[in-house]
Amino acid sequence: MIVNISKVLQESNLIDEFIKNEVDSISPERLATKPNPETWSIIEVIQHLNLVSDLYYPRFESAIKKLNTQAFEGEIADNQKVSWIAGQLANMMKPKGNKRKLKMDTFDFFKPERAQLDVEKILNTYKDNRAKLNHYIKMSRKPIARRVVVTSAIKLLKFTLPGAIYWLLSHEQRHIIQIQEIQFFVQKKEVV
Amino acid sequence: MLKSVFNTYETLSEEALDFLVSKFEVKDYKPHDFTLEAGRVEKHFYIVISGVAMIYLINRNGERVVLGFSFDNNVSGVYDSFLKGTPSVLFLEAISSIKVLAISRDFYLDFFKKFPEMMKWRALFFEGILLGRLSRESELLTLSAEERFLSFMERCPEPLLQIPQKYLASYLNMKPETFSRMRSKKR
Repeated sequence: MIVNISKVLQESNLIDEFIKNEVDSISPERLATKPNPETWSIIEVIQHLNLVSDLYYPRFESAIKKLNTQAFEGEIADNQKVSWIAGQLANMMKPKGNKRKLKMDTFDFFKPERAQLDVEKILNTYKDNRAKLNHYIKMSRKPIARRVVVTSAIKLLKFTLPGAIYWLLSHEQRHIIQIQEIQFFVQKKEVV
Repeated sequence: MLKSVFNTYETLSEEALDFLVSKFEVKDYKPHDFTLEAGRVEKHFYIVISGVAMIYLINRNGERVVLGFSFDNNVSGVYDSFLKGTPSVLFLEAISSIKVLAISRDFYLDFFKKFPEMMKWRALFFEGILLGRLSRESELLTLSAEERFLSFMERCPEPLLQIPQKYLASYLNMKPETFSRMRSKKR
């Protein structure tokens, strides 16, 4: 499957805009409000995204270190080939319009802590992680990015950097829809 | 440089020039750096000192569609996003190393408030952009690939002859091989 990395960057930037325009203005209390006891609050969704980043980013770094950094200079390969399985997994995650298809449970190690969450810290970490993701997306425009290979959360499965960032973005887009849904339910609950 | 750009349609007063000199800053970009990424809001208005930048979007098939170039002494930027303050669908990318003068949106708008006589420059500048876009749209819709190529080569500025052909081919809505064949034929 071919993924256009510039398009991935464009979609990732739109998430930054969403966070800046829609999430930054939400009060810490509302960010921590659950629509019901079984579902996540917005900040728990964001904490989940941070946990996913915590797993992948150090793996990216150690895989990148194995290559010559100069290899990331020079020409651009905007259309990157990603493995069939990486493409399928990403497309399963990717929302269709504003709908999350195939709702699924996550791994235990990706579940946010039930303890009191530090809203501000989590949000700031998430913003740092977003900047890092955009950095990895830009790195994925280089032909050499296909040689950066990391193990996914499913240990037997490996992703190249372009495959991984495509999966990460699709996964995040899914959770952005979830954030919008929570925001809607919490607002509705307050009005009622 | 600021004088030559802003004196195009209206004489720039010394006071207005001083304002621009104090607000424009020099920025450098390496080849393939973005001056603006799609999905972000354009916050600057640029004048290219040296180098070439291209403006493009990615279409639904994941192909790059080049809309234009800016090079030495050209004004540059993604104007729709700049004027509306909304995320852009366009990328502005350095093809070579580029040096630009950049002014922020706030200072740009402030300039026309402080020096209303320069509104004539602004109107004529955007009129020029509009006429250019209309002429390009007509060429794309009515001329054959060969006619588009010949028309472009007649007016092609020197800096654009140095950039990879694939970008020029995309700008002319043709395959790089077609562009290359026509270029060899012309030589």
